[in-house]
Order: sequence, then C-alpha cells, then structure tokens
Amino acid sequence: MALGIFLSISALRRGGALAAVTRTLLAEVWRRGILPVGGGILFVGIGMLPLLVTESTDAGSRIHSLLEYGQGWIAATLLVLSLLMSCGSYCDEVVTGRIRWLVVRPGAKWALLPGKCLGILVALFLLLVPATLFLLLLVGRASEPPVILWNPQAVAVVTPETLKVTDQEVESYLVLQMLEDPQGWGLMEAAEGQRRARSRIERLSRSIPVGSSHDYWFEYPSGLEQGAVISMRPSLGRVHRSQRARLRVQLADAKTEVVIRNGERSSIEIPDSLIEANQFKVGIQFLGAVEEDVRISSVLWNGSDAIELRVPDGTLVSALIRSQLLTWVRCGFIAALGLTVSTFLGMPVATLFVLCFLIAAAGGGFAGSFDTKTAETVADPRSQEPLQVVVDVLARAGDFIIQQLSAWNQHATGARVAAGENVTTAEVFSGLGLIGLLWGGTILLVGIFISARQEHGLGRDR
Amino acid sequence: MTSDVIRVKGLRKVFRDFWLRARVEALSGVDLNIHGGEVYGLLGPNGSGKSTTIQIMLGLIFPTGGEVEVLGTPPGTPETKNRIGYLPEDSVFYPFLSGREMLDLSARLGRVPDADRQHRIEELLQMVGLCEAADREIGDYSKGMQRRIGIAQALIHDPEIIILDEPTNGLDPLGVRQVKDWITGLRDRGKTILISSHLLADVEQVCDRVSILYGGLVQAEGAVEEILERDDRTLWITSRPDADALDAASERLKEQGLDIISVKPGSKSLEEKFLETVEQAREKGITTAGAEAGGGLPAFLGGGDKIS
Repeated sequence: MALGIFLSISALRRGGALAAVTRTLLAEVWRRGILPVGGGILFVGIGMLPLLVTESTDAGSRIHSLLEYGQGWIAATLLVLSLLMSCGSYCDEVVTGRIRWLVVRPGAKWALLPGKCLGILVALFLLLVPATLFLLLLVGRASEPPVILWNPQAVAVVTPETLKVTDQEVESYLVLQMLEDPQGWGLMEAAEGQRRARSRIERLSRSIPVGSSHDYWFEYPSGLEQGAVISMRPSLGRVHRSQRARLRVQLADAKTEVVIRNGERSSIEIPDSLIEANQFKVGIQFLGAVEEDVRISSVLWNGSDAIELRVPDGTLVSALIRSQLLTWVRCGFIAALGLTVSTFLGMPVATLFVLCFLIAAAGGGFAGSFDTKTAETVADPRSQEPLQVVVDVLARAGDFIIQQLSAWNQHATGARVAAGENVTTAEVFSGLGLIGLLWGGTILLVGIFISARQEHGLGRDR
Repeated sequence: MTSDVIRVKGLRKVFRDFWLRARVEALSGVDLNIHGGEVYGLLGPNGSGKSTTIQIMLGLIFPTGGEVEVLGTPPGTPETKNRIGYLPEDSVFYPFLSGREMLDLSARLGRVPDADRQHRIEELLQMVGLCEAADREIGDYSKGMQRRIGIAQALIHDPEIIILDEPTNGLDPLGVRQVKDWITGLRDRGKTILISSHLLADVEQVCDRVSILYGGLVQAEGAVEEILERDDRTLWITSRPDADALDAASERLKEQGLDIISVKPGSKSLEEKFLETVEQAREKGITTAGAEAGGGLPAFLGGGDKIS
C-alpha cells in the first residue's frame, strides 16, 4: 500500500502531460477551496452521526446505524463533490477561454479529460481514506468492547438454487403444460407462455402448502464454517400477519421444529456434520399454524433474502474497505460522465444531466418497472411496420440501459456492510472492471472524441 | 528568405447558429503566404477576421472553404501543434497556479523532454523578468506580468512558428520595448512570427510584412516599407540648425520648387523619456513588486537544444 502511494506520488511528480493535468486539477480543487470545504462538510457530517444513535441501547443496532448512515453520507458527499469538480473544472476551461490555449498544446488531447478524471479520483481518495478511518473510529467507540470491529465476522450470503428459475425448467414446464392443456397453453404466444411459466414456477418454488415439504439446495464452494446459519424470513400472508406457525427443518440427519412469525427472521445453526460441506440440502416442511383454530394455507418466501445461508466470511473492517473502494470507483465514473457531458453542455445543464443519471441509477435502473423477459419477444421485423421496428430497437436499447444501470445499484454495498454482510474482492474487481474501466473508459473516449471534433474558437461568442 | 511556412488560399469561414443558419461570414476568401523566418503582421479593425484566421491556422475552428497549410500539413495535427507557440489575446492562464507551475504545465503539455524542462523554465523566467515572482499565483500578477508569463509559455517548447495575438496588450512601455526586442531576436534565430495587433506603431517597427484585413478579405499586403512608402513626401532629419541656417536651407529648397510642409524642433518620444526615467530609478536601487528588467532570449530558442 505504502509502496503504491509512493509510486503514485512519484509518478505524479515526474510524469508527463497526464500527470501535469492531474496536478493542476488538484491545485485547482485545493486552492479554490473545493477540497477543504467539501472535506469540512464531510467530516462534520460524520462527526454528527453519534447523535443519531444516542437513543439506541443495543451495541449491534448502534453499529448498524453508524455504518449505514456513515457510508451513505460519505458516498453522497463524494458523489456530489465528484460531480461538482468534474463539471466545474471543464466548464471553467470553456467559460474562461482557456480551452483554446489547452487544445493547441500537442499533449492535451489525450491528457485533458483523463488527467482531470485522475485528479478527481486522487482528490476523492484523499477524502475517502480519513473519512473511512473516522467512521471506523466512531463505530469502535460505539461498540463494547472497543476491539469488536476486528472480532465480529462479516457474513457471506447465499440464496438457494431452487429459488433461481432456469430457462430449462421453464421449457420443461411449458412442454408439460402444452401436453396437458393444448387448447390453453398450446395456442398461447411463445413469449407469453414463457412469461407465465416462469412466473408460476417462481411462485411454486417460493411457497410451501400446509403439510407439504420442499427441498432447497445451497452451494458454497469454499466449504461451510462453524457459525453458519440458515436464516428465514417467512410470509404468512396479510390475513395471518399476527399468527405463529411451525416449520420442520431437516439439515442432514438433524430435524428441528421452529416457530415462525410473519416477517420475522429466524435462524437455525448448521449442524457439525455439515461443516466443510460445499453443497447441501435443506428440507422444510410447513406444519401449519400453532393455534389449532387457525388455518394457514401456505408459507411464502417473498423477496431475495427470504431464505438464505449466512456463512462467516471476512471481518467487518475488510468488508467496509472493499465497499468504500466500490464507492470510489463509482465516483470515478461520475467524474468521467461529468467531464464528458461538460464538453457539450454548460455547467448547470451538465450538473442536472449527471444528477438525473444518479437518480435513475439509484433506483436500480427502475428495476421491476419492466419485465426484461418480455422485452426480448420481438416478432419478425420483416412482417412489421418500419416505425414498429424502430420502436422495438429503441425498446431493446432502453432495456439494455436499464439492465446496465442495475449494475450500479448492485455495486452500492453500504447497506449490506451495515447489515453485517461481506463484500468480496471479486465484487470489487467486478465493479472496477464494469463501472470503472468499461463504463468510465467508454464515456471518457466519447468525451475525447467530442472535444476533438468541436470548435473551440469564436463560435460561441458569435 | 525561405519558403512559405503558412499558406492560406481562398479561406472562408461562415459562423452558423444552432439551426445551422448562416449568421456571420467572417472570412470571404483570404489569401496569405507567410515566409519562414519573417515577422508577419495581421492588421485590421475589430471583426475584420484576424482572430478567425489565426484560430483556423491553429486548428481551433474549422474552415468553411478554402485551403490552409501550416508547415506543409493541415492545421491542428499533433505534429503541427508541437511546432507552434501560441499566445492568446486574453491572459487565460490558471489563476491558482504560480508562474513556475504554469510554465511546467505548458512544458509537459508541449512534450518538452524532462532533461530540458527545468533549465528552460528558469531561463524563460529570467528572460521575462519574473524570477522573483515565479512562485506567486498568476491570479496575483498584474496584467503585464500575466502577459510576460504568456510569452514565456509560448516559447518553452522552442516552436518554429510563434503566433502572438496582441502581444503587447497590457504591457508597460518597458515591456513593449522588450517584447519588440525579443521578436526581432527570434526572427534573427530563424523563427517565423505572426503578430495580430491593433497597436500599429509596434507592428510597424518589428514586422517585415503586413496584411490589412477588412470585411473578411485581405485589402492590402506587402513589405512594411513598400506599403507605407509615399512618393509625394520626404522626411529629413538633421542636427538642430540655428535660425540663419534654417532660413537659408528653406530658401534653397523653395528655389528647387519644393513645398516645406512642416519644420519642427526635434523632441524625445514619450517612450524614450519613460525608459530613461525607469532606468534612472533602477540605478538608484529602487525595487518594484512587478516584473524585473528581464533579459535576452535563452540559448535554447533556435539553438541546438531542439525538442524531440
């Protein structure tokens, strides 16, 4: 780490055009007060976090709140700073006319946007490191004993294979239904049939009727460890929300009866016989309501976290560091986007544009608003009106963008760390590759292309 | 005189609005040929097309029609950019950088080798008289000091063509004199210099050739002596005669049929008086917060210390 920092600093000191632009941006954000003022706001906000948890007596919930709000505050502040630095810096070049001087320098074409982006990343890193340390300090003070941060382990969360419906399962279900009901399923359009089949299988795998049992398969390639648990949050339906029910859970040879409540999480420890196993089955039988006069027809698993395996994996600190690295990568993309948008828009509109992206991405690309599977059902373009073909192409493009945007939300891991989940190194590399290099790199190349094709002379004045 | 380094033929530029409707025809067919190793002046009133022509030569804006060649290549290519030094009309440099940092940025963007960068910065700071103020932020500089740092940044990569847009803008007479000396010195070292200026007296003193633009067209072009020559007047400058000698000379000239239009006693120019006063103050050891006296051109400009 120290060697990395040393090499970075020496590269900045000795480097060429790219390093020169990076250093200029750092001088700009420091001497113009953006970094000191932004840093001040960031640290005052973190410093006020303990006021939020004074009412809470439980150390676990204090840590959870501090981590969730702290990471949220750091991410929000850094994203906004990244946006302001990028749009502000490039727009200032245009407004002052300095861009005319810059673009006639031979090294500026490939150094200007990447150098500025790199400068913003360095500036944000300089804020992120002490802010994360400050947050850790506050979390450490909120916990008893103070070393608890290194002690409690983060968990890796695994969802059962059964809840993931495969295309093969859908096809098999469709074939079966067509044989049983050729008038109904046989005459249905292929896409509609697939959608309905998937929906039914999902519903079936997510519910257990009273008296029935269902097997759920879990895979954990690294092998289970001591302390792993099966965590369940069942739903008993709206009319039975205050009722209790019983489940019989079979793990290897051990059978356990559990009393569950609607929406409340219950955990069952993995027996010793399954330690180091990397694949195992959980059999769950729904025994019905505890009270004899109540009839609950089935138990439902609503949501992706309704039934999951939680295995100790890494420490809270390492999970937090990885999560913060992903925040930094996302800030880098916002910087690249802000710089590129500023090449053709003024400061207010460019800022608004990037804010719109942030809002759209924070909504997970409006996940759930569109059924991604139905969007794939495009009829033969030869039989379609030209306008319809265009609409379909646009719909596909929109669907692609929405799917891409959902990756943004998947790499916002603050809430997961606050909930005690681990963030893996693979996730960091995935975020770096997808958001940092692919998205960020592409958008920077677009910016360089636009800037090279633009007139930077008197056009605006006239 | 060497071959043309900048060739402009039938250059047209039409500025359009958002809807691509033509709004202004800034250039209507400009023809220029700038020879290597000369100082060329581009003159004209506001809106005549001087800056548009320069910006097309630099690749900042694209021509609507016509041809432009800079050093045998189209403008705006990296190879061409590396051989051009440009001083913009306004001092637009980063106000939060010091003079030294600004030159360092300019050198790195100009691909000056690491080995040469530091000594070039020091030599140029010395040339423009900003050694003492080198570590102050440019935002704190006076307008003249900003102009000086602008001239230094235009020279740091030892360009072959130097384009100076209003180079003496904001400079005191001392600075103006120095800039004129640097320009002639650069020409002597084989550089080609293109100057756009409103200060006609300055242009007249340093330029070898000029062109006058009006309405997007070159209205007059040629060597300064040629286009300023008047075939109906002659200016005599003599040592100051006494009254009798002056009368005798006047009579003699009238006998030859010449009209004496004006006879005036000689006087110093205000520039000469200004420079004399400042020089006297310096000799007394009075210091200034602004630029110092400055010096001559550094050795690397046009010398063997070429950039790769």
